[in-house]
Amino acid sequence: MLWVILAATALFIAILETTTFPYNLGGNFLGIKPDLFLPITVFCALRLELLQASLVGLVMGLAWDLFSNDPVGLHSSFFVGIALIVGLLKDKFYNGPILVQLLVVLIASLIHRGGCAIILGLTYHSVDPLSVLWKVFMGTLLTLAVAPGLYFLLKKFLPPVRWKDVS
Amino acid sequence: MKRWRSRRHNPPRKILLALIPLVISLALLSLPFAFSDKIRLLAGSPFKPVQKTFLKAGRGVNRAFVWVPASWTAASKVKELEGEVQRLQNRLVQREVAVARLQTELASVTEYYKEIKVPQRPLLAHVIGYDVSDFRKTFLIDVGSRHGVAKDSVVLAQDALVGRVSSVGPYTSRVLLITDPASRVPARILETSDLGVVEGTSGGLCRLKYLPKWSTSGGKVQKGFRVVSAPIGGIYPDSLYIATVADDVEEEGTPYKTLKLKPGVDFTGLDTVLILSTPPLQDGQELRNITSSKGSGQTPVPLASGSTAGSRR
Repeated sequence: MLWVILAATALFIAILETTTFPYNLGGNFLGIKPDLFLPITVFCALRLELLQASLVGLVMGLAWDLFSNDPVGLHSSFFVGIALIVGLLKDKFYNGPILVQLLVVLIASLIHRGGCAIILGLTYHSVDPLSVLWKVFMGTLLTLAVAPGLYFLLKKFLPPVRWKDVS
Repeated sequence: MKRWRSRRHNPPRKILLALIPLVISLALLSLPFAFSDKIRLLAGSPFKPVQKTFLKAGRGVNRAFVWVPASWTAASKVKELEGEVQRLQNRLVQREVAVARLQTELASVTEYYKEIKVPQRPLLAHVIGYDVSDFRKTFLIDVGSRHGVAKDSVVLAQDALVGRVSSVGPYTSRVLLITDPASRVPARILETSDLGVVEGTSGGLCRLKYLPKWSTSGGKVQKGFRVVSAPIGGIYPDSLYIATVADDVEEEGTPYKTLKLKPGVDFTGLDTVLILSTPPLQDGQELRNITSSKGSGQTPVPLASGSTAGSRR
């Protein structure tokens, strides 16, 4: 049941991002949209088991791939990769406070957007570097701005963050 | 000891299991793009009504957001007039192109006339969703192969070029805008007849590249010059307005010049587009009335040259 809800959420976000976000409804800034998929993937990766986190990444990434012109599998690979890295490293640092979790979202967003920008730049040489850089940083900031809302929403549904001091 | 061993050996197995989604993603990535794109459009088709509803609702809310301050500043009136001016300017370019052609190339006009006798089926399509990625400039439309849309069909709005259909599903199609980095449109400058290629930059502007510095105009291109399509490659028709020269980009050490272009279409508020689909409909394909989005089974109405597909203002 949880997975059905998750898949429905992913599709709902995808439809939101492709329809209402391109219009200035508070979720769009100069044509740049926040990424709602990534904070959910990161927060789930911090709270769930590694396999579950990886599956969440796959569901979120596939929902993105379904509504984008990028090659199918590109964003799901990124999301699963991010979920795996966060899931593997979550016990290595103190990840309880919201600020630390937001920092993880910031780094993950930079990796995702930066990676996409690099792939785009290598594929199509006509890309305007300044415009792409602006989109990477502005998009990351917008994602960071919406992340706290998603954090408090997910806090109600997901188990609490566990932190194991391995040192 | 046994417990210790199981603890020691469990994590790698967990990691291996967790790697399965990554393998699935990479396997999807290795599929041929045309195949995966078809599957994507097919899988996305059931969400067409939901996307339409959301887009309509979004536009409604957006209009309300715009209307409230506009009632104080009359900005909406200005915007409306700007849109009207843009439409008229775009139409003017078309007329100028026609006059120039008539005056100088009478023979090619005859050829062109023969060409446009080829049965083209202009379709009116509604935009149902934009691209999730900020880096890509594409959108989905609510017509597909069932309505007669073919890959590489030319898409127009506000009497200017929007892009081309990059992939076609049965009920939906994806349009690659001229601002997408994957877009390449053969073009020429109307005032100088210099040839080049219009490329998307992933931003709001395009670029006209490979413009020879040694051209007849001596590379003297000014801001405001208009760029129209050139019939090279067989996809785009001749003399379709694309964009206006916005700036000059000097590139040292190359024999070519690059220009920044402002597209002739405002993509943000695009509601309806026209699709010029060259291949004729086959048996079993739905006919679609260009005046109605629901019109399956009705005879398509021939399109007048001065159609007004574009943004709903």
